Amino acid sequence: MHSAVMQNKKYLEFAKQNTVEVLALQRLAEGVQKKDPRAVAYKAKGANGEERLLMLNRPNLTLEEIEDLSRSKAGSFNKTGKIPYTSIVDPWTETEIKGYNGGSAKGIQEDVAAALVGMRKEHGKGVARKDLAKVDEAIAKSQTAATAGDFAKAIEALTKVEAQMKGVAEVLTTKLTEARAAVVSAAESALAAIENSSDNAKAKKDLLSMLDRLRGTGLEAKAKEILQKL
Amino acid sequence: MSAALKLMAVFGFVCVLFMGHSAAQDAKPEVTDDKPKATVEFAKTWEAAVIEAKLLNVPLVVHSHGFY
Repeated sequence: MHSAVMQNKKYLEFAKQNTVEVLALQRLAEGVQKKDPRAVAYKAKGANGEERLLMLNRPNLTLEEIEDLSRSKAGSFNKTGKIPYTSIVDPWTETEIKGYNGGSAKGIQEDVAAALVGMRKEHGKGVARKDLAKVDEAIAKSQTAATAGDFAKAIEALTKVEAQMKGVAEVLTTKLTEARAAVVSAAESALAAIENSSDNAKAKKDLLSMLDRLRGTGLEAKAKEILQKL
Repeated sequence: MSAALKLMAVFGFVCVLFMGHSAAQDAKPEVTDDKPKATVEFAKTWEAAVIEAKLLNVPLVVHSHGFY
């Protein structure tokens, strides 16, 4: 079942376009504890370059993520007591559209296609996964730069993608706008901390080094005003 | 069996359960140099899966499996 569906080439291609895949795997920790050779992990890099130990047979998830998923709502759909069990779930209601013990790649694709007809009728066409990935990646880069105090780099990461997403989908534009507002808010806080500092010499030094990193935030003029007062 | 013995038996049983659970929770997987086979990309959390599925307007496919 595992390789017949989740590693099936045709299903992989289908899932990229038409589903969000969720795993509810029980008793993995037991396998790890027993040193089962199937319960091994490999080293991989996370989005921010951090090391992640991902489970070899369920790639892209850590042991903890798999355990948490099985305890989440994902673990509540199989009421048969038998495994494997496949559920096709409506994300808008979080209820099962169809569920069955086992399930072939072909059968799941047919049922997902049928579910999509109803969902598109009710909620319209969703955004493309590649566009969503592009936006999420830009937001992650922006957050990393803002956390490091480089607000100009954070804004730049968003600006590039904002231009590409113009007219694509309002929901993506909104995500980018919110991310931009979060960067400006973080920059405002950093600027306020300097303005309220009692050590003028240090505040001036900090502000001078910050000026370039405020580019694109709309706070450049305010920063220069503060600088003149110091 | 006296009430005290019963209580001790229940306490012992609970301790064994807790220790077993705790050991399973703390277990760390062995690390291999093997590379994974191409597999569907799973959502990292249920909440993230629901948000993504709404944005894409596609159904969630939940695979309920057991390791044993």
